Amino acid sequence: MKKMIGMVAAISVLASLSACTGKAPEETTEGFSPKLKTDTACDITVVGSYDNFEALEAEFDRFNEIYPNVHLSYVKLDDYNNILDTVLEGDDSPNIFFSFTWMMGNEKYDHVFTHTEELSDPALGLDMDCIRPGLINHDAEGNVMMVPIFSRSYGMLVNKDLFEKEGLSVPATRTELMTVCEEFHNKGYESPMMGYSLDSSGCFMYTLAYPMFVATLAEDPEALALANDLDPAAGEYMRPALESVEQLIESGCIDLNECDKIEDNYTEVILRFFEGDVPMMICAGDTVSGTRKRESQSEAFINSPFEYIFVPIPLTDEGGYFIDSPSVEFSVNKECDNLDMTNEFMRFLITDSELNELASVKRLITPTADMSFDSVYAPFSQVPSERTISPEVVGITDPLTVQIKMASFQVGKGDITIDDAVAMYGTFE
Amino acid sequence: MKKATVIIPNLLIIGFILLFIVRYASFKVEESNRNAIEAYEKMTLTVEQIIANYIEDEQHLCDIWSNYVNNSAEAGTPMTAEEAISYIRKAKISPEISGHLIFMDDPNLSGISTAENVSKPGDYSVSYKNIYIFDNLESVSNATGVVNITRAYTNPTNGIQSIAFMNYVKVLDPDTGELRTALLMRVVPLSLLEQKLVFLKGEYESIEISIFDKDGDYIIHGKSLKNSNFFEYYKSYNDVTAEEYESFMQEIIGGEGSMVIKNSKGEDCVIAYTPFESLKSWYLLAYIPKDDLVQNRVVDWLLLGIVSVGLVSLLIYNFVILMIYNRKLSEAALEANKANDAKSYFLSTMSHDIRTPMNAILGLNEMVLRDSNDETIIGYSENIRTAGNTLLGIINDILDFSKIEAGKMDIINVDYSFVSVLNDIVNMVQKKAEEKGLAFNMDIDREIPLILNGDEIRIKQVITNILSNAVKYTKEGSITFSAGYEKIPEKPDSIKLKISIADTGIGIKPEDMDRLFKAFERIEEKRNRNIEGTGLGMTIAQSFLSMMGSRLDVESVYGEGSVFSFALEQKVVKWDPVGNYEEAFKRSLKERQGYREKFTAPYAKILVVDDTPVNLTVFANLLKRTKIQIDTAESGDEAIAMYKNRHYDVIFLDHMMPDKDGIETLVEMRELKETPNGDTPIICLTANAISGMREMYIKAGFDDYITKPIDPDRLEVMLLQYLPKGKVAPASDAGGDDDYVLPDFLFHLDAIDVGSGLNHCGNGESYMATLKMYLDTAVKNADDIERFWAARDIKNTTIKIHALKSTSRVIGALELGEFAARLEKAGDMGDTETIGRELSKLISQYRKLAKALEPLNEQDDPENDDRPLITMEELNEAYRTLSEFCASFDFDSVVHVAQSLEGYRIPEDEATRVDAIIKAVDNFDYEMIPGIIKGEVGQP
Repeated sequence: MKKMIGMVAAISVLASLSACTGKAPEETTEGFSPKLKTDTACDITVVGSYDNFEALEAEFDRFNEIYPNVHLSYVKLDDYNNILDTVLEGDDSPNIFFSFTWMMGNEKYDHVFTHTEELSDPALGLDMDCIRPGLINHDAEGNVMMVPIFSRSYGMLVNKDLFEKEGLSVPATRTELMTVCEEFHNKGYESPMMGYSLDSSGCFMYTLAYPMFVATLAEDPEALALANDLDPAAGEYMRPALESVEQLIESGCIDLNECDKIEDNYTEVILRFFEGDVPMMICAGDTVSGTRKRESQSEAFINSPFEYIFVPIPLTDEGGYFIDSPSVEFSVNKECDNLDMTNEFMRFLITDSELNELASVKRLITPTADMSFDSVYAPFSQVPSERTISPEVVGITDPLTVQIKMASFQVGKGDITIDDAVAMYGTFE
Repeated sequence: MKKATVIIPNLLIIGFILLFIVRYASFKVEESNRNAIEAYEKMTLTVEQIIANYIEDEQHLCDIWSNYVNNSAEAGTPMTAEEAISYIRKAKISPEISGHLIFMDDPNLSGISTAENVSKPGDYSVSYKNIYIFDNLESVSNATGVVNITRAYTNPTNGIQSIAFMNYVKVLDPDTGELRTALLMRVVPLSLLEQKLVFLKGEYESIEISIFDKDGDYIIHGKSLKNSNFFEYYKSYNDVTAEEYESFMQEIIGGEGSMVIKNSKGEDCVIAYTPFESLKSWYLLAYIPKDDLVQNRVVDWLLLGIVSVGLVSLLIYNFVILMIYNRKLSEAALEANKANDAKSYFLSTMSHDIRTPMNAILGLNEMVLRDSNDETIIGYSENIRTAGNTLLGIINDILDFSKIEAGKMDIINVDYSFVSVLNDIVNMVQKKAEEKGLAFNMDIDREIPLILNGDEIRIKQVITNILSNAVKYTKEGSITFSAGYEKIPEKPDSIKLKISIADTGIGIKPEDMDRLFKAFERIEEKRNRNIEGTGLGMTIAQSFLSMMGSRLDVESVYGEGSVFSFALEQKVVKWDPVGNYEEAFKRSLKERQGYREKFTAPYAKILVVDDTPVNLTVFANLLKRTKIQIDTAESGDEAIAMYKNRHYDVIFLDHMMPDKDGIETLVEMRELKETPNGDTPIICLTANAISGMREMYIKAGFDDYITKPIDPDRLEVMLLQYLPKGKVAPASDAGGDDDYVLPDFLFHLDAIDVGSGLNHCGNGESYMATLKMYLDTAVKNADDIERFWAARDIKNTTIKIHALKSTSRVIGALELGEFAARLEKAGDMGDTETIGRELSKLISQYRKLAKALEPLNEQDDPENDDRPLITMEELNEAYRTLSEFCASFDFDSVVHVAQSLEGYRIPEDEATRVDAIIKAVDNFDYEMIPGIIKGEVGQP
């Protein structure tokens, strides 16, 4: 026995000393079968308008686990919308570039799409089925020239802990919303709902009005046609949405003076919400994407963290709308170098798992069917299909959105009346 | 040897070596790392220089362009924008580089490019309206050596990421004819800058060079540096506080250096950074995974692994070899143990076999010594005793040495009297010294505590060994035994007993000192060959002292003598001092004359069991003078039969007997229920004297043990210890036999202690006479006392009670004597109340005792009076003494003298007078005695 102990002790000396030399095998990305030689060496560039795209860079790293010699890089282009065509024409054209729904049918970008690969080609093997159908745009020929990697919606951030503290439930209908606002008001909250209001871009008035306006148009093709044509007659269809904006402000749900203190429509909106005294913060999904990073930048949130979610704003008695619209989309430059590897990367990226991973890191709404992985966005997955509207599917065009954006902003600020706004439809720029 | 004592040190050594290697390798790796990082930092500086030079060169080329344009303007021949651009088109060599002339006063920041827009062929216009790169235009200077550079941006004419070098120029506005300030830009693709870094790839495979501005925004960056801003990147992947983040930024833009940070995968990477001296707002950053910069570690681990395997292999090999040798050693040890067991067996046998005949030799010799009156025979006999004792000493030494060597010698601490130790030592040594004509001096500290706790036997043995040696090696002069003590401050209940023995012997040469304590070594063997001994005495003494936490010190001058001393810590049980031992010793010396039994016990009965008849004879003869009644048995069975039927006061039982040995016999005896010997002590009689025997016998159920050959003194001491006190009387002073048999009923009287009576009366006969006298006078005395008390004659009552006290004590009626003493005291104090209350009880007891003694009258046998006849001279002296004591009222002395007269036969013509005196004493009529002596008064 003692001999055994002696031997074990001796071996354990060796074992303990040699333990440090081993290295755990690296994790490999499962579920993806490479089609090309994995030792292929090449460069792939993705260009876009984001200053930062660490979520995509993380995908590069994951792709490099399969193709370690492929050098992928993301480059932010200055004046993206104006320079995209030039970049695609230039000697250093990218492999993949950001594209947006509003580019479709815009003649300024027609030339851009001459460089774009048709992505629904079965030969490419992209899993288009993983994306919610309402988010995929087809051009006049039925080709898919861009594929969404994020979606955008409109709603409000809700401080769940504050509701719990005050013994209130998160409102699901317009009546409940008004009641909750009144309760908060009575409990000393100056502005139970807040949002950015200094500028029309990203202002809360638009976030409130747009879903209602789109819902109104979605039910009436004639109205939609008029609205898309910027016919002043379509102005009347804005009225319910504008009235909602005006009512929330006039009823004291939203204190405009308090909102005006928020200096930008992104970081300041988030930091104001993290102060912890705002029950509901109206914003777009793009703003919500910045919350995770800013949790550590808000001293108030560090000291008193709370649970929050992003929910549709319940402006009707049936509830709120989930305006399910593509945010950033990827297009492939069919004339680029290393097109095969570019398509291989797209095949890697356009899957449930990678798109969800991308959305999770970026904290944007995933374009895939399963939204439940991020608790903040989970409420949107609860919205019934009849209240889920894809503007692109409905046929909402970009000029139309400008009208409701400007109208709601000006009405909200009190610059014009609702009647003025209705009458001015088609003239807003 | 335990395996652990080999394996553990080996493992520790291996561990130490490996630890050293790890530490050393780690040190070397750290050193190597430091060197690598230093080289890496230097490389960063070199890159900075290369890029700085390139940038300065590019700026210089931009300066040339602008100088040419501006010189034209200054010369009065200003160039238009078109002319300037045309000039630049010609001047620039590289097709990748373009020149932009931007009118900063134009709201659209538009101008002309040397290259056409790639998406609009033939269009040379350019606009920077939505490209925000002109934040620091105020710092743009045409001064030579100043670099005016933009951040990396997208060239609006070709969409290529570029940087631009700038200078202001003056050009002619053809529409107004005025000079107009424009910004001349030398637009350089970033790829050209990146090409400058290609050379580094050979040296550092995985290095990535980045350049960022003061805000942390990258100009160019490697693929590992995520984000568009280096500081944001650092914050994203390194868990830092706001303060640490701020400190990090300050350090990076504060100067050159390097540090380790985490990359996006959580891996350590080393960054080296340095500002571009000429730009002020650009910083160079080299990035490399730490593992790629820090190499050689694998080699160290390999080395460590090989060394580990080697050392462990060596350990295993050594262990196996050791195991083989251990096995051989174990076998050898087993053989040695067997041999040792054989030795022990031999010693045990030898002990028994030598001691048994020695018992007969010494015992019978003792008889010769005691019984012979022939001086020659006594001389021979003395020599036999001396030689026998010497032989026994040698056997004992060998046995002790064997015990010590076998580790079976235990120190057993008991309470002991130091005086007793001194007695034993002196008894053993004094005679030997005397025989050699040596003076034996003692110097005993009178304050040594009387009762100590320690191993009395071993202490005695140590001192005896030293003293015996001193006697052996001293031809003339003296031996001085000193004992003293010191208190131990920290142990208040202990002392340090200091013993020293000085002799005037032959001394020891300094060179022989080392051999003194070596077993079987005898110093100056030739000179001392006539001195008996084994050479073990000092070794044994030293061993015992060592076991008791002391050591023997020797000081010696060769030819003059030696002093042996030691100090021994002993617990004190009783602090009473031993007193003047020397005086007591001298007195006892005077009194010691040949053999003298220590006691007589004619009424004691003992049983001795031994299979050797001669031993039984020796035993019985040794105790002959004690008059003990001795029964003998030659086997266990015979002894058991006797044990069942007759009461014995002590039983001596031999251990080694055929058929049923002593222990078996003892067990059988102890199991018997119906026996008069239930409480009788049984002492083992054994020739076994090797280690562990005492424990074995006590454990077996014996009360004690005594070794053969039997030491007569020790035997008597043991009997004194175990015999009932009532049956033991002091030895007769007359030295003659006291064969007078006391009637048995006396021993059954509770009121009388026969031993005490014998003690007072000197012998049985005298005791019987006294008892009869006591009986004869009892009735009258009792009546007298009652009569005196009835008359309240306190004085005479008290005198009578005093006489009763004295006579009662003399016959051993101790309780009655004490009772009488109490009432005498009351009488002396006039305490009539106590006498009135207690006297009837006293008289009642007195009469009861007298009644109990009445059988004495039936045993009167006047024919058998062998008392010595008193001479007239002695008788007259007695009369005179009695008269004097009576005159001085010393009645105790009167009683004593009268009793002493009873020990003699009185001449017939004086018998009446003496009887009258004795009767007067018994009747407490002391005042009549002078008259009886003078013949004036007759028998009362």
